[in-house]
Amino acid sequence: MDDRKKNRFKTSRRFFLGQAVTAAGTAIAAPKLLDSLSPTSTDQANAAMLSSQSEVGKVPITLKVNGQTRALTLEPRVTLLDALRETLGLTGSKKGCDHGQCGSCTVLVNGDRIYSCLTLAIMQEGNEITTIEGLAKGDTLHPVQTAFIENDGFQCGYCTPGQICASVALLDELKRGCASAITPNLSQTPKLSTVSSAEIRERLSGNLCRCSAYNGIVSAVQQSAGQSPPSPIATIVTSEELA
Amino acid sequence: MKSFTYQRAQSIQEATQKLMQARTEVIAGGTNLLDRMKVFLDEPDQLIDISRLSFNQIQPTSQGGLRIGALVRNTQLADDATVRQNYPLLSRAILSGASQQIRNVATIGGNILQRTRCPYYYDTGFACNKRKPGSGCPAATGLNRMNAILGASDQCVAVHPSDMCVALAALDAIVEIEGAKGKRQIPFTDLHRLPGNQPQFDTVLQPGELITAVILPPMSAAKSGVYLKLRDRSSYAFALVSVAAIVEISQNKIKTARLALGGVAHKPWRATAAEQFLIGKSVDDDTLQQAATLALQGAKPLAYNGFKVEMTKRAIRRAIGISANGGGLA
Amino acid sequence: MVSSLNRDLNRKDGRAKVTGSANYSAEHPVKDPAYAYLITSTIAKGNIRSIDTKAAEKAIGVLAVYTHENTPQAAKPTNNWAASKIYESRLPLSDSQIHYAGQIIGVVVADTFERARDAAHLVKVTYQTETPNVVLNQSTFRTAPPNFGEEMAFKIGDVKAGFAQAKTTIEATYTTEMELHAPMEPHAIIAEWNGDNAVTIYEHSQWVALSQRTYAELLKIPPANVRIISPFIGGGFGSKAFPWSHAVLCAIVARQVKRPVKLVVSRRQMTANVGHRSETEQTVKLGLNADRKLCAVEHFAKTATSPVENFVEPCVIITPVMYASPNLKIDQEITTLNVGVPTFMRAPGESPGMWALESAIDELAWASGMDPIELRSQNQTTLHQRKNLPFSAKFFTDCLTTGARQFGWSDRPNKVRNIDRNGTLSGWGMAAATFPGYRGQASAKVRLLPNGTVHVMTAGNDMGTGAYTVVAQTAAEKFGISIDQVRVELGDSFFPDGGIAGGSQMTATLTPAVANACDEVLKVAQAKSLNEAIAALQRSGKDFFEAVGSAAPGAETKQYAFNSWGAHFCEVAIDEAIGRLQIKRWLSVMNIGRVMNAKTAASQVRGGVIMGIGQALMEECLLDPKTGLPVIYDLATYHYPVQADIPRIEVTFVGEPDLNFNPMGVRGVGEIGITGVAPAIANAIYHATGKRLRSLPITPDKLLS
Ligand SMILES: Cc1cc2nc3c(=O)[nH]c(=O)nc-3n(C[C@H](O)[C@H](O)[C@H](O)COP(=O)(O)OP(=O)(O)OC[C@H]3O[C@@H](n4cnc5c(N)ncnc54)[C@H](O)[C@@H]3O)c2cc1C
Ligand code: FES
Ligand code: FES
Repeated sequence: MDDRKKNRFKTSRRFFLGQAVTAAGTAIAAPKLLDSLSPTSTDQANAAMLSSQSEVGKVPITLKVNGQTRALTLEPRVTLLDALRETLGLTGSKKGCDHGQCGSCTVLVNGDRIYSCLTLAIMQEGNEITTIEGLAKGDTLHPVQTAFIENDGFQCGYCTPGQICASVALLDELKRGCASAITPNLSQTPKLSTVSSAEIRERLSGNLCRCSAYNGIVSAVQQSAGQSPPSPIATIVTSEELA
Repeated sequence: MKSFTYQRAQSIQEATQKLMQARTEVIAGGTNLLDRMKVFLDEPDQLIDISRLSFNQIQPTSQGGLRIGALVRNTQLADDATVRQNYPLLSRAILSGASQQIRNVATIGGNILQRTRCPYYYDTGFACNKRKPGSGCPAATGLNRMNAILGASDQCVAVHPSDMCVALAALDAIVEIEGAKGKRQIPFTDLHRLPGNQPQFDTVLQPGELITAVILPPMSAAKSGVYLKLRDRSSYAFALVSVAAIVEISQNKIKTARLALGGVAHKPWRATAAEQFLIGKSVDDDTLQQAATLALQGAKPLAYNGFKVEMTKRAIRRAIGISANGGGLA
Repeated sequence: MVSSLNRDLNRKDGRAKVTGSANYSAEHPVKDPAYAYLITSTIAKGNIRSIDTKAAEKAIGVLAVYTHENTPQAAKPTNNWAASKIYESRLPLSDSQIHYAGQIIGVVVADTFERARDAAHLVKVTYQTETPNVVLNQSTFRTAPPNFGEEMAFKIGDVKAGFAQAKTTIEATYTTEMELHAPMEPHAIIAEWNGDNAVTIYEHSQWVALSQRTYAELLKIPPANVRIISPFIGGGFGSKAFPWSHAVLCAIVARQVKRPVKLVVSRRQMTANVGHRSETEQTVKLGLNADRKLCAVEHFAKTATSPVENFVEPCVIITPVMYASPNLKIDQEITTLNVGVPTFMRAPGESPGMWALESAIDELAWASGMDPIELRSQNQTTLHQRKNLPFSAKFFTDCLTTGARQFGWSDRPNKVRNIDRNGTLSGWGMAAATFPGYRGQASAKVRLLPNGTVHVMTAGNDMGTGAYTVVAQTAAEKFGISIDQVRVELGDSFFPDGGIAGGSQMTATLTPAVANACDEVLKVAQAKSLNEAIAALQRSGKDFFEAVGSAAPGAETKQYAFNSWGAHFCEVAIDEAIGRLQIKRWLSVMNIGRVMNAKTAASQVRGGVIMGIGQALMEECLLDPKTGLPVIYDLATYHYPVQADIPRIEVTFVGEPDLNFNPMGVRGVGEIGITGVAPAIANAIYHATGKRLRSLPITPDKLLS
């Protein structure tokens, strides 16, 4: 605690906040509690100080996202996920847990799937980042996206971008001969055309889906792998058929 | 997460020197450190990113083993052809941990030095001797289903959560350490420590020391090694208990045995007494039962984790049995 | 005419969801948002002695810190389901009292998320701590209050006399732990004020129109000045129907700081602040007479509620709906624990209730030597025994027989502990499923454009249930066009009240209103068909014709009782030596009236089944008995199923449209899937191992031989 305090003083921003300023530059009244502790002048200098205060601790960060180079100014503590969602407006990557426990923030970095909530944006400088927004080519969906639609691989859709990014990477991992914990023979990894549903399920277990569209997701991967998945559609038995 | 300054280390020396400064931590994959920082378990002022340093290779050693750089990613190690072939239990242990997304980022060093997942440690709303020495251990008398049955103290009942480390313990691995004062090597099983009355220290690393590599000695028996992990759901869950077992059979008798346990102690637990007992025995139910009993000798279950004793014994019997049959998926 | 119903169309909202362009609550672009982060209590009972916000206020980027000492209060809402409804009756920050761990005690507003979170941690709180009670069986209980006006207690005949006639009697106690809804999208809100008197609330809401009225009351502004925008909901399961305290607070502080404020509840904070299903303890006693008929049925339950809300998980009410007995008695008690607010969670009452009842029925089947399917089919009731009304379009027997045939039930060995080919124990289990058919009132607007596009607008919404798709299908069928010609906009309070996406009633409630709105627009056009209407529109030179249509339940609820029915069948493989269980096969046969879309409806059933598998095998939120703080508080500790746990789930629908219920003939499908799942699994485990497990979740330690 004491260390922290010391540190905070060191950063030299003991000026005050009777005002807060929007980016548009309009000064707004701060709440009472703060007013009682501070001068409430509304002068421009104070406002300018505040906007410069907002830059404290921020550093320039350059990210390559979906083929575009984006220059940002962020605190180093900003995660890749928050940079995508809050700064770049790429809200397709979802925040489900913020702790690497759900998979909804999955993006591709140099083709590998990672959780964007458990890495800092600044650590990803120089890497090729692909998010869900970067998978389709114009109006043409990525085949995995199409397969998700056709196999009803989602319900609420919140985990879906993460599931799709994970699935795209998974197909590539299979091509590269990556193993999973349940691969029976580690020196004979499964091929796309014959990979079992159990393998697919193990390999996609880092993506939770509370709506539990799990069956549809497996089918979507099977379809993308060139297999013929079982139909997502229910069987309907009419009363006549029963009679 | 508290704010900090961030720097990319240009060399190990720079990193170890910086690490001597107060409130400084190194970040590799970040999947454990950032997780902790987000809930204020760690509040460094300075983060040194070592992830771009060059100790990220897997190389054969002159003895016929492997030298694995500490920055090798978990996936890279699990998928390495030599590891799959010669140390399959290591591949399986790694692959049974976390998820592909985490393993793609997580480093070997980071995996080894990840901290406990004890829910009392992980929430600053609780007291915790590991977080704040002297504040108490509510887990010891609380809901301790996931906690330790071996080697715990009244100050701390946390377990080490890593799967990979259980395999490394069984494989007689060596850890290469580099600090401001130079390099040293220690057996992997000596790296992590028991909590005793200093549960704040997970390992014997000194301030400023980094793990630079893990060395696997050659071990032909390891080809039949087995990793068995039991958990509350089929994937993406920490172990309730886990076992790494390597037995070598010659003329129907056990020639060498290596047995390590996970999910049971503050460190990857090597069951040496059971190993000794196994040597020269034939693999039958009775032998396995006695070995399992020996391995769990001295176990002190807590209010909610008594099942771990029996579960670990079963896992030991199963894993040794499979290893004796040539290994494979457990 | 193109019939788009009873088909398997892809989701209308699919493209938006697979491309990441669907905006959820925290994702609506607003200009220059500030970020709010909650400060929550680290004790479970007591009082805040002091709260020191100085360090937080001085932190960079912090705009304001609000606690009970400086926060303008919301107005007390009517909270009666009609005018308004909030989950937690106690308004946020209303005093210094602490009732449960994790309770909101303040909020920081800052210019970035990181700064808000950091500053929240800098707030220093001292408490006067009292000993909390979070342990169910250390509590005193009272009679449970009515739920939706229905008393828990109900009685037919004389159970004592009934049991005296029984040839076989079983009695057992079953328990479930606290469960979390844990939707993938965390609870989130953006509140954007326009002056002091009008606000736009971007927040997932299972009932947009009621949410609008509720915020209006809380914020003392006219409902017309509240706009709720909720086009997509990232899962709710009952936890996103009404405003929670964090959302009320966000709306209040946004008015103060005069800037749009975004608040996302962290996954940990969700443990206490956005609802849960209470733990339950239920005792069921069943008596079967020589004629293999239930002669006495008793079901008694205990559940918990929170100091800040009275909610009963109505476990027992399903029992008189399932099985006929001349002697029947149900009752329930509750206690108050220092926990957050328990609330509706997928099949509230039915889910734990069926766990106990359908386990007990299986026990009775074994005890009496009867096949469990036969026992169920012979003892089902044609009458809703509480309402004394016949069920409409009930095809429960078809669920049982079709399921038995498709699953091959006749091959099931009639003894326990059978070994399969892999040397593991194999067990087959089944259980019934049911959920009431609810239907509410709804309106929709249909607008016809000169190019032939039909535009349907309603405040009702889609949590992933498929509403976008079935609404489009309804209009498409009405007009004989493809659903590509229909545009659907949902979840905006500017549109007519579309009712609640809850109680599995959205389709039954909304689609008749959409159908009526289509008729109404033809009337406006004075046309008999869509083509005539388009021609009339083109002639008129107007931009569009539009009309609102409504629909509501009528006298049928006095003539019939409505329920959906089903049966689950499963096979488990158990490696008893190490406590490892795998579900090998699953079949669910459901009778839900007309199936609007066999693809999305199948997904709803699967979703329910999988949540039930979670409940059966792993879900439990546990609180430290001393401090009352949760030790299960995130998605690493609160396990719910991952892909690797889940086999292929076959879904079959039987029966006919329930035209007594509504003109579309549809009943709900969202919740029935979870009912009966846990007992089907426990029954299969019994068949595999001979071990009757009566406490959920059935984790590996309990399976160890
Ligand atoms: C949801 C979830 C589930 C998980 N499940 C499992 C599981 O089932 N099994 C399992 O084994 N693991 C599991 N993990 C943990 C995961 O394996 C670790 O997070 C990961 O291995 C850490 O590696 P890292 O490189 O990201 O470490 P970092 O987070 O970068 O570092 C971890 C710690 O080690 C220090 N450090 C890192 N490298 C070095 C070095 N070379 N020298 C000195 N110090 C160093 C850091 O300062 C830090 O304190 C899980 C994690 C999550 C989030
Ligand atoms: S948000 Fe990253 S894994 Fe959940
Ligand atoms: S689709 Fe809703 S969480 Fe996966």
